Amino acid sequence: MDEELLKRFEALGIHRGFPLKGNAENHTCRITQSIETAFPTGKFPEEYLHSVFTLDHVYRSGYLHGKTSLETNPEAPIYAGFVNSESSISHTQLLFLDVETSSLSPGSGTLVFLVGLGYWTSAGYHTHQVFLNEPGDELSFLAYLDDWLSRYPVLVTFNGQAFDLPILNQRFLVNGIRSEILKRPHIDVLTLARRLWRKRYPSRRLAFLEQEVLGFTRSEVEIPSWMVPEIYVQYLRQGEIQYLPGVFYHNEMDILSLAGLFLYIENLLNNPRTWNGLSAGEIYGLLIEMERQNGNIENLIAFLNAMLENFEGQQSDTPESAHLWLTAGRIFKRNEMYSQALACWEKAAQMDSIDACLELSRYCERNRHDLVNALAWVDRAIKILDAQPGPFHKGHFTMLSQRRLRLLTLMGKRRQSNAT
Amino acid sequence: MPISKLHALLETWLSHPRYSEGIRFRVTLPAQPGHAHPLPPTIPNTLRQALEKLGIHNLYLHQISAWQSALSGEHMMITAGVGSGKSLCYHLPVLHSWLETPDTTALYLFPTKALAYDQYQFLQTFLDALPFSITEKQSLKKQIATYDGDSTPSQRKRSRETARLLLTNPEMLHYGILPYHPYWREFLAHLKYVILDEAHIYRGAFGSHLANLIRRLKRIAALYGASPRFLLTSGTIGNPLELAQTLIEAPITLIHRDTAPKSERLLLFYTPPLEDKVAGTRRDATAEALSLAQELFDHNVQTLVFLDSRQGVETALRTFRESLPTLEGVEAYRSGYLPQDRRWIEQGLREQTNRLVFTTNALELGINIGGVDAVIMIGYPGSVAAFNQRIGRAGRKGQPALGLLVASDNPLDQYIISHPDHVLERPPEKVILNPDNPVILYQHLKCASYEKPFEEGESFGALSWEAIEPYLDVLALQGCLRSSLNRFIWLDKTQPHREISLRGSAHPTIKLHLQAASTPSLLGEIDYESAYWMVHPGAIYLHRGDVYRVEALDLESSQASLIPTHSDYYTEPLLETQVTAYKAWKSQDFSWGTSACGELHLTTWLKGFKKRSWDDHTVLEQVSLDFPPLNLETTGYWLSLNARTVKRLADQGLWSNSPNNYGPNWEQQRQLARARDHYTCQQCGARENGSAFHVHHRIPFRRFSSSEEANRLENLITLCPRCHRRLERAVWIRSGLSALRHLLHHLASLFVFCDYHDLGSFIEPRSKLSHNQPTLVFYDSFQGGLGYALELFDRYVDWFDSAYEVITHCACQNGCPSCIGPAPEQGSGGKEEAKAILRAILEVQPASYG
Repeated sequence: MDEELLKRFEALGIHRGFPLKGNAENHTCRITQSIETAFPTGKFPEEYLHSVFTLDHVYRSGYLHGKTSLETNPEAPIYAGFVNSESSISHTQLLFLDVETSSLSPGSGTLVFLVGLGYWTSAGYHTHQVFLNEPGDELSFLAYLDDWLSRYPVLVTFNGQAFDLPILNQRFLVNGIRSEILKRPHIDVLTLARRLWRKRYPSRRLAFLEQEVLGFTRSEVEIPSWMVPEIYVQYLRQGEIQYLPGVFYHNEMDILSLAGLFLYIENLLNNPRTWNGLSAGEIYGLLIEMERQNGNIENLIAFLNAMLENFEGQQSDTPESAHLWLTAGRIFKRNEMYSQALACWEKAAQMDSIDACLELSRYCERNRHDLVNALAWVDRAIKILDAQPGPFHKGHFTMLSQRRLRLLTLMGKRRQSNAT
Repeated sequence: MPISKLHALLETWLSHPRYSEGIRFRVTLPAQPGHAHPLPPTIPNTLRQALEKLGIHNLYLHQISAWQSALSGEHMMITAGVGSGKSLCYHLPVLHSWLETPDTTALYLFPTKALAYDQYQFLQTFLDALPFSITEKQSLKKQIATYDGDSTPSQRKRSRETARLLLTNPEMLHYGILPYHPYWREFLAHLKYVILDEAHIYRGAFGSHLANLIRRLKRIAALYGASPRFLLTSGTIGNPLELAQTLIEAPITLIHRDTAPKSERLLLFYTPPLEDKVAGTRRDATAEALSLAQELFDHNVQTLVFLDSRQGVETALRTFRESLPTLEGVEAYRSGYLPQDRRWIEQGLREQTNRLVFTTNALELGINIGGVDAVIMIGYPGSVAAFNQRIGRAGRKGQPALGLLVASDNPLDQYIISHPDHVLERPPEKVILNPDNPVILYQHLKCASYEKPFEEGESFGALSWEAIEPYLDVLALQGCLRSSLNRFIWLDKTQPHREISLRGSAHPTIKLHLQAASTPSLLGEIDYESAYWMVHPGAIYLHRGDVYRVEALDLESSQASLIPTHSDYYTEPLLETQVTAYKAWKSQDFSWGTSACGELHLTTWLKGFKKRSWDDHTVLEQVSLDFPPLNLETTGYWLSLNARTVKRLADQGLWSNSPNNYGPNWEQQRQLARARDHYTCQQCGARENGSAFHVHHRIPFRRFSSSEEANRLENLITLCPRCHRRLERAVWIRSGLSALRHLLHHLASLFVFCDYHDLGSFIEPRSKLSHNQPTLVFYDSFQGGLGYALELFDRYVDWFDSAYEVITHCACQNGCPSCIGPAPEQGSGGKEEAKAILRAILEVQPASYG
């Protein structure tokens, strides 16, 4: 330690920053081993010296995460619409992932220090947490992770697109290693959640969804995300292990909730029969999602047929209901099931959907050559537009009146040709 | 404007009584025809066609040399005058590479956003001229981007992902690219060229920071496998090769034969005539310059007027407009204006709709404004390089132009007026920077370790592991880094980059908070060193014309609180600087004393401050302060006189200086004083024994306007002859050194490329540096030192020579602003004393070399 330089720096006024804690000799740290005392069941995998520390748990059948089971048939294929792949992917080929970092900033000085991994086997759902016990040997940590990642074709994360994967990629790059992690098949549950629940819930944050959808509440051991970086830093600087269990718990619950949400959404998409209790907004979201993913149409159609029959069951007073019926109609139409399509659109029209009126008008005109009713639907649409409060949508009005004029012209011509 | 018209104007001035006295020197710099050569055959057809479409059918020699040098893969530095087509020297090689290998990238660093924008426009124009389809051209244009503080987040994202040619500035490289380099991987992995335009700007602290920024850039580029070539351009300076090599730490090819044409230029050196010969005061330089500018304006001569402060620019414009309010085409230009306003003014200059523009050095740099017909400089800009840059603005293609220097009354300007050869014949100054300044290096190593961990054995630029490891150890001790397994890794939640100001001082700026009503608001900022004497507790501080009093100053947290106030006084801090430790690196002994340079530890105490009335500057009150001192560890130059010389000089001086007549009441006052003091020496306590003791004027007699005032009892003190002599000698020396200090400090810029404020100076009548001998000290006012004062050691003879010349030729009696400082009150008088000291120093050869 260059005492003279240190004194010089003090004189130059650059000894600002953190007051020194601990002993001066301590700072060139040897690898701390006290983490074992915090986690007696954890391990230092061989060949990685003490740079990597891991902790495992398994959740067998019967475990409930809140009110949600994490059980699934591991060999069964996942919902086909999740990933673009020629062959089907089974649940055992998924790796769930969530990282904790030494800073909330995405800069190159941010370390990934804890990676929570989750996967299924016939024994149940496993969590495997990988901890960077010695930043000096980040290469070992990354090698260990790389090995794990290579064994699973598909990654599942919550907001991994924007955070977890880029930051892992960054750690590889900073250490001079090429990484293809950004190109791997990846399911981002946050993206799914946003599409499904944008209208249903005020927030799509994991903590919120965990409570609302899965019914899970974290224990007092939990450490909030903003405190996590500090705890790791203090562990390394001073060997402070008191709050590490909280950090590991936080990370583990993230992995469990991630799996829970994944299963929940997958289940919904696989089983439109179960949509009965859902709100119109949610069903609408699911419809859109299925459409986007070209999922299994049969079940969907079956559900929509059922929905038509049990009309009273669907909320018809939420704003999303109209969208729901409109979309349902379009799905029926695309599958050439016209009577159902019309039935849906009529319901949507009753809920004042201008687009539904238009669909009906078009259908009347093109499929039935029924200009009278086509016109009637346009008039209906105009009436709805008129009655709408709020700013005046000139564009819509123009379009509707042009359509009206066109129909009238056509009717006139037809009368003429009929007359002659 | 035709030369005859210019000459005609000059003749009127020469015969005009108002101006003729002031024109001290004139010279015509003859036009130089350009030497252009046909486009070399190695330039590919696509580029050739574009050049010809832009009207460029030939290239100057420096452009051709640059092309050839770049083709052979060398780093290069091109020095040439303003408007000589320097930018084409780097554009051609880069465009060639990029068009040939589309995933090539290039990083352009400009010192200002305006320059970046200017070159961006050029690239767009050039691409338009290429013989490609419209779609191809569109697609290429999209790959060029500017990246600066004004870029929106989506623009920045696009730049990261798709830009190939990126035009930016050092700050963005520091804050926005390097700390997030993995996001720039695609750009960095293919980085082939880094362009540093106007590199002569990178001197002093800014240059030292930039050199380290380059070290960091090279390190990160290497991480992605890139090893870019550096292409630098610069205006004329004394050491272009040295500058380039210091900045990029690699062998570099220098291209300096500038064969662009230069217009004929008529240069005038003007000094406002003396108003009071004795006091040495002159008519105000700005007023004189405005009057000359008015004449030029009336004759429809497009003129640029350079001033040295933003405030000055605003005031000049306002004053000019007061006399002629409805004039169009008269503008001001400086940083702080909106970019679109600046573009508009630049365009107006190019199109000649703006006839008269008052500007700061913002227009010194190469922004394209065409050329103007006349340039007026108010005050010497401090260096030959800057002088040439400014003059370089005058002269449209083939048209003669006028350059006019209006000198203010400070010693430097007056020296230049009397020695035009300094500017015209001497080589331009050498740029000085110190990338290994410990404070700067520390800051950049901190950032570099954030960017990528350091491995044992790694070098940093040209610094070996052994040189940088101590810094990394300190960083580890402070907790920012973790040191283990031969690596140093960043371990902190924060990012260090924001703590550094690339252009400012080593310390964070002090935020000035206005404590008014409920919520405090930010009034402004001030740099750390100035804070000490401008916003000390109790100080009266002016900001944009409003008056505030400083309630508190907290240097630790970098804050000061101010409240608006009405006061009938302003404040003047009482500062005392002392040397607390030192280490001489070089010294020379002479028969008169010693000249030396080395490390200095200085402590400045703020003892208190004086309250002076606005009206007549009298001292209303003096307030003491107990404030923690300011420590500065830096490098400096000092000169001390030995005891024998002091005695000899002082005795000589006193003998020749002693007035015989102390006025009519002298005898009487003398008696009264001796009686009051009980006929005892007030210094050593000896009693009169036989002959009468002396009575000494505390404040020298000649400082007073009347003998009654001078001889008041409070001003008299009884001393024995020996003590009297000793005291008089001390006063003599102090006056002399004080005067000399003032003059030398101003003249330092003639010999070292720095501004007045880059140096500090003080005298110590009994200094640690020299076994308690009187000493004159100059130091770099930047923590850690930048190398200025060291340069002074090497050049002190010329420096002192110039000072002697100024003193002996100055017509004032007791001192004036143009030599040793205004007479009495602030200045010490002391002109004769300073002259004698200089004579002693200069007449003697060095006795030994240390």
